[in-house]
Amino acid sequence: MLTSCTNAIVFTVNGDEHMLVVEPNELLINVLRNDLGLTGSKYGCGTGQCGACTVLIDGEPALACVTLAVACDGKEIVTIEGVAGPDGDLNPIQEAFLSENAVQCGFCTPGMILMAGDLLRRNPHPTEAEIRHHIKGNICRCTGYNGIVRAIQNAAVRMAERSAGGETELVEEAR
Amino acid sequence: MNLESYVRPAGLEEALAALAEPGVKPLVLAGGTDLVPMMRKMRMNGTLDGDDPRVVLDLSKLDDLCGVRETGDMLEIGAATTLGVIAAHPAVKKLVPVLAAAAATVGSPLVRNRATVGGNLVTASPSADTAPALLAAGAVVRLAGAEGGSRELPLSEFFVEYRKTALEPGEIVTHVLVPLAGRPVAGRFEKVGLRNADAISVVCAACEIELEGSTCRAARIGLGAVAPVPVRALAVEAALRGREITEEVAAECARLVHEHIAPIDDVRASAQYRGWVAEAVVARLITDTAREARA
Repeated sequence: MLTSCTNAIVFTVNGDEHMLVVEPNELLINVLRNDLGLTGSKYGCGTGQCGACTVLIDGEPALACVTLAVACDGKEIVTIEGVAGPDGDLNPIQEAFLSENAVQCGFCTPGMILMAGDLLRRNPHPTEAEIRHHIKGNICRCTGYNGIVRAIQNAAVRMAERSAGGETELVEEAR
Repeated sequence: MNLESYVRPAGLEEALAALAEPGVKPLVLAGGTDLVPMMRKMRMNGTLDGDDPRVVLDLSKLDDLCGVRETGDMLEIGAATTLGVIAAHPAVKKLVPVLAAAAATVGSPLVRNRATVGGNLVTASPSADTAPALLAAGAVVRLAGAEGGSRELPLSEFFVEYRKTALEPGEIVTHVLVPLAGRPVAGRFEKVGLRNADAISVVCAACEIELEGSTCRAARIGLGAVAPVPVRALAVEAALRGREITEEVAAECARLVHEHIAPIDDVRASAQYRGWVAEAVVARLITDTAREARA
């Protein structure tokens, strides 16, 4: 008989290390929501088509509904709960989603915000077409996407301003 | 009901040994974008129940199966390389543009972060988008089996029938190889789906054309979602050889595509529509690829 790995996994979620014993067919989305109480990521289609379950695994956006939890041993996971600062300060993307009214029912929002962060990390000044392309796998049935696209454009501006401000501070500190 | 167990071998030998275990029905896991929904479906229709222990064999630690390398006369693509990596890889974009274009149309960015080229081929879906591109590129698959055995097979012989490949029990695909002779080669890919993202192809097609002066020295055309398996349109290719490619010639040769396809009616399109679209897409691909080859 094949020697199977123990299904104890150790992984980091939003900076906290967790050790869990999981069934081999347990989905990451269910472990996050049911075992860790992180209900920001949503269980939508269950087949990887809607993007509501988007999380970051080792920094890359991934679909938690088609990811086996047991395969996440040793991985670093970030969910929407890990996006804001420790004291609850919203990050610029979250602020932009609020100011542009990019949220209606909110089901797609965690995935949209994580994808926006992924895009702006690679490409700080995306065009509208690049934004729409990057969120192709995240379905929103409320907003018609326009508010979301505007929010990501707005977030790009906020982040550019913030990093320009940061640089000024650094220059001042250096003086 | 949780009958699966899970193993994550540290190397290819260990993975092949696990596959060779008697009585084991492995579920080979690479990106999981097909396998995990399939596992759920199997559980729902009862095929994961009963006395059928299943083992999930996770290939994620097999580093040799990841990445793109130029090795002598071949571009060697590890079977576990993600479609996102392939779509953006400079060597693939330059040498086999038809493959980069096809990889970029699979699913969504989220799917392409995980889905692998090996998985796309092994599931043997008639609508797998990288299959026609790799057929057009004349690709070869390398398979490894127990006892260190390894063999290479033209991709056109890999797809045996609907959802069935030439993989023997205990074998896995380790690499996809594209011959580098004569490359870069002009290549284009086109996909017709019902929406822009996450679409399963109604028709997908790929074309590579090599010119000699102004005439066609070689053309290779692959098609998906129009037959039980991805197919090469050999009659179209033969008709193009030695011809100067104009729009009229492309349209005339594209008519021969019907010799190779056997489309069906399903939820996405009728067989008749698929036939029309296949011919139109192939004609356009030939014209556009030839134009690119001349440039």
